[in-house]
Amino acid sequence: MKLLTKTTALYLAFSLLVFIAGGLVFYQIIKSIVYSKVNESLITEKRIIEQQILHAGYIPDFTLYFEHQIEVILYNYPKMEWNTRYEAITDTMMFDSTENRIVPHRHLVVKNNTRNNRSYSINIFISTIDYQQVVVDIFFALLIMFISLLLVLVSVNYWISKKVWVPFYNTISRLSLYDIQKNQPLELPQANVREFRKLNTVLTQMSQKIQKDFINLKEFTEHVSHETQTPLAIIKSKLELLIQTENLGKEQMQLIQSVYESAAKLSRLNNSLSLISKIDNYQFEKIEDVDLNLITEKNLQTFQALINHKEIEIIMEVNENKCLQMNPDLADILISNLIINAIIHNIQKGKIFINIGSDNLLIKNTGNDPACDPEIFFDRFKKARGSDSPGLGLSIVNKISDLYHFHVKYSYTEGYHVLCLDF
Amino acid sequence: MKVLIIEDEKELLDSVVAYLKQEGYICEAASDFETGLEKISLYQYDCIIVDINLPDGSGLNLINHLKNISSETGVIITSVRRSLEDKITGLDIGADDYLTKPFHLSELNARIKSLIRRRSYSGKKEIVLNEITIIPDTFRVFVNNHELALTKMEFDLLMYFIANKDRVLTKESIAEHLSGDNIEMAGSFDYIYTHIKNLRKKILDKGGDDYIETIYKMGYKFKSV
Repeated sequence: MKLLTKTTALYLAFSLLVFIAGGLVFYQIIKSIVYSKVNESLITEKRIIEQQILHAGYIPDFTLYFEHQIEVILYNYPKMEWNTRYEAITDTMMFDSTENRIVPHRHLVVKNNTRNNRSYSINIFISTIDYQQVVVDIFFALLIMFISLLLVLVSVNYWISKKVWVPFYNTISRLSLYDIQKNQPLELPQANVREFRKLNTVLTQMSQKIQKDFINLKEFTEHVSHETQTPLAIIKSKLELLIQTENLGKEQMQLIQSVYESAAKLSRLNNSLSLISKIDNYQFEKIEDVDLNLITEKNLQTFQALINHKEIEIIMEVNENKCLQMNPDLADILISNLIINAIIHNIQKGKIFINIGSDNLLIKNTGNDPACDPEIFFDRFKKARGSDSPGLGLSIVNKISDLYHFHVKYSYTEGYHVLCLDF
Repeated sequence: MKVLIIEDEKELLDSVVAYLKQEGYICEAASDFETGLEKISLYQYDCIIVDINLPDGSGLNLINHLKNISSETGVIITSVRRSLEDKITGLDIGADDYLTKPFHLSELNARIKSLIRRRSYSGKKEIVLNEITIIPDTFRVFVNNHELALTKMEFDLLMYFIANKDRVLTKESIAEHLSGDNIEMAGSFDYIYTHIKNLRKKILDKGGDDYIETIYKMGYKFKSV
């Protein structure tokens, strides 16, 4: 949900709540005003009638004076139950002749004995329909006012919010375009609201720090892999000299062999890491037309001995003479990694299908089920259990693909590892 | 045979010198550009091995300088992996071969031998070892005057063995020699066994000796006696 929609909706909901509560209170107030007004007239009329009864001793025709229903009954004897004066005002429903229907009335009743041994009862009914109509009318008038006010307020608020949040949205769009790999500083537009200015400052500082850390880390990896190369080369050369020594026993040879193998492994790992950091640092600038077909053939040639050893059958299908615009070294690394991957993770007497299409390269090979999510092989150091390689091959493939916006997909279906590279 | 090695990494330099000395070369070493330049100017070498990235100058300039005074000397340049540009420039200005670092000493040795053989106009064009005769130009091999039918890989293997005879060759160095640097990524070199087995069998079939000795787990050795 958008921020603006959310604030507007909340604003509307709260306004509605306030409106309903306010309306109810308002209704009660109007109602009590009307009631006290009606009660007042009832009491005034009652007083006039009672005075007439007590002083004049008869009942004049009040309907001429008061335009509503009045019933007065005078008895020439006192009534026992009226010894104590009874007076009450209640709500009642009655037929109204002018309205010609039953409408709500206020009803005043007085029952009393006079001092001269007579008794009387007074019933006055005042229709409240007109008053209620007034209440409803006022209520609707207020409602219309309230709604229009609300509409104006909400739209003004919406408009203001939209205007006020512009720097915020600008910041967000800049942030989403920001790519730490590109090594460009994060530039945020000037904001004239203090909070947004603060936000931009904090974000800029943070991005600078991250950028610095990122560069440091990259340089660190680069330096480490570069600096370890020489000692590794020395270790290997010294071992090579060492094994030339006469009279080395089987045991010593085995020790040297495992040192040598570990050094070789470390050296391979180091080469891969240094390659990844070089790709990260965009050190492969030269771009040429690379013949995919040619480079694939060349790499198959390189690994021919390995392929023969595993008795793997290669089925190559070229639908198009595909040329890629990329660095020739990286193209070679990409293809050789893919082919090595297909050879190493193959079975004895397996098959490798290579299909070069106009916009994709598909390498399919027989192999055992990796028994895990194939996507993880694109991460560094992730490999199938029991694999002896450092697990950087596909990670390098992924890096190169990212650099040229190729799309790599890996899946395992029906006994085949399928690697598809979309250009 | 005089060889000059120019390499700034002292330990590596020592290893190269030690290995080549065992081969009977007269080795001289220089660990920086200045010393290298001095030696090139003063003495005559059959072959120089030069690192491109020296702390006080580029090995490429040394080659330029060398080519101005003597074109007879063979040049092998060494450089870190994947710097194709260096390789092309180096070969353009007259280097004879290129080796990526880190390299196997046995590989360097084989390259020097091949280079010297190619450059010696006067020398014989055959390599003879006991009953084995190799004519590298035509890729032909004879054992007791019977020609062997070798595959390209077996021929390369034999040449590599003979260049490094009586040396222990690691499986890795053999694999890289046969298939190139990229094979290193495969991490598995057992496949060379088949080729070694075939080569040994072909030599034995023609009445040759069993020259190839398996060094437990490590690799192989071509015994000349």
